[in-house]
Amino acid sequence: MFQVDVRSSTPIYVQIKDQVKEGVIKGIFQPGDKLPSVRELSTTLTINPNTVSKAYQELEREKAIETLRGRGTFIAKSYRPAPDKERLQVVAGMLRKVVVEAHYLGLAKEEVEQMVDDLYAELGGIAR
Amino acid sequence: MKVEIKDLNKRLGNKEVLKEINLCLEPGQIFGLVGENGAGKTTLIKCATGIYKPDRGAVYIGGSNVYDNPVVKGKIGYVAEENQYFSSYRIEELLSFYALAYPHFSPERFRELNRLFQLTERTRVRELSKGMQMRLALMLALSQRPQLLVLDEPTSGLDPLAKREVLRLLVQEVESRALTVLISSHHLGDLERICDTIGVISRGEMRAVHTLTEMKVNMRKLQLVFPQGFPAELASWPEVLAVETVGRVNYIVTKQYSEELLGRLRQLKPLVLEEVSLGLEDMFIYAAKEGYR
Repeated sequence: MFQVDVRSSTPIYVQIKDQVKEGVIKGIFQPGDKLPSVRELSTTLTINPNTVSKAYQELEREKAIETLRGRGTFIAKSYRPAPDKERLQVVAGMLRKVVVEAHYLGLAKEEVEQMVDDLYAELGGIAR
Repeated sequence: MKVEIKDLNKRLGNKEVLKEINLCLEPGQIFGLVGENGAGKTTLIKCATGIYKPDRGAVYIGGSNVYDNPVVKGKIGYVAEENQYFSSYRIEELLSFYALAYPHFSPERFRELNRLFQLTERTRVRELSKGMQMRLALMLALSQRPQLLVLDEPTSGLDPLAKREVLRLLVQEVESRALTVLISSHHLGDLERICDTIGVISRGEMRAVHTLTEMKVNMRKLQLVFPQGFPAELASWPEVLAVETVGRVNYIVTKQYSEELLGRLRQLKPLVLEEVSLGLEDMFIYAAKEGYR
């Protein structure tokens, strides 16, 4: 379930952190679920174990996961992830591109809004 | 074990192969040494394992000079690029030979590792394929329970699957007992997964030493287009490492990327300001060429 892109400009430990948090948001991980050990994860991804440890340490400091001595690493029971600032910026950036592109196509603001509404209707389930 | 290389110089014939190399590896670190063919990687490794005598300077491992020091050498696992075993030896004979040479060698550990690769101990070394010989060499080195593992081009000539298995074995070993690892390669791709620090060597000089995380955060490539052409002052900003121009598009490579820098760039009112991807290979080329510190 974890996947890293070693070529990306995002450091690998950040990618792992993001995927844990994203997994919780998407419901792939439930609070209390066990995460792979440092050894398992570094072996399956063939990455430096220190990188995995660093990701886990930071997640633990952020109270997203907890390590129970001798039992393993788990998603914290009380963890409620908030969409973070950086991700919001990414979405804003993507929207910006869409708006610019639509403008060059000669679409009016209302037409773009209509398209967004249609998309929400189509994807129904995810609107909250 | 800590490895310190101090003012190392080495001449082979009348060629200066290594010039003033200084380097320090901390315990538990996986250090990748990259450089083109003939840059001096193997010579550096042979000095670090005490095979070559430095002309000037020295290599200290765990505080003691490695040259002519059998006690220190007993703690180093070394896998050379070409492994010159007695090719007519059977694996079982090599095991007893290793047990004679290395005080901490453990045949049990070898058999444990071999459960994965399933080499028959009756096989002669010359009957093994190149990939199998490399695995054998790595298993023998790990069975010495070394505190420092030195690997010269461990993945060259291996198929992708074998490569992965070799790297996996390495990762497990580092995870289970924090040993220091020095790996050389001219394939950055093999190293970027597992190394935490990478050093670039070129024509005998250490051009850049950086942790991968630090590099990825600080070094970014931005694509810019200005209505009135490229503002010349930009090239002299301390955060800018390199500037390239292709037609109306300008690219800058930063050495100290920050939101604040991005803000200042926006104030110059560019028509386009976008980050473009910068591969690790490019990063090292820029770092080596432009003197990134």
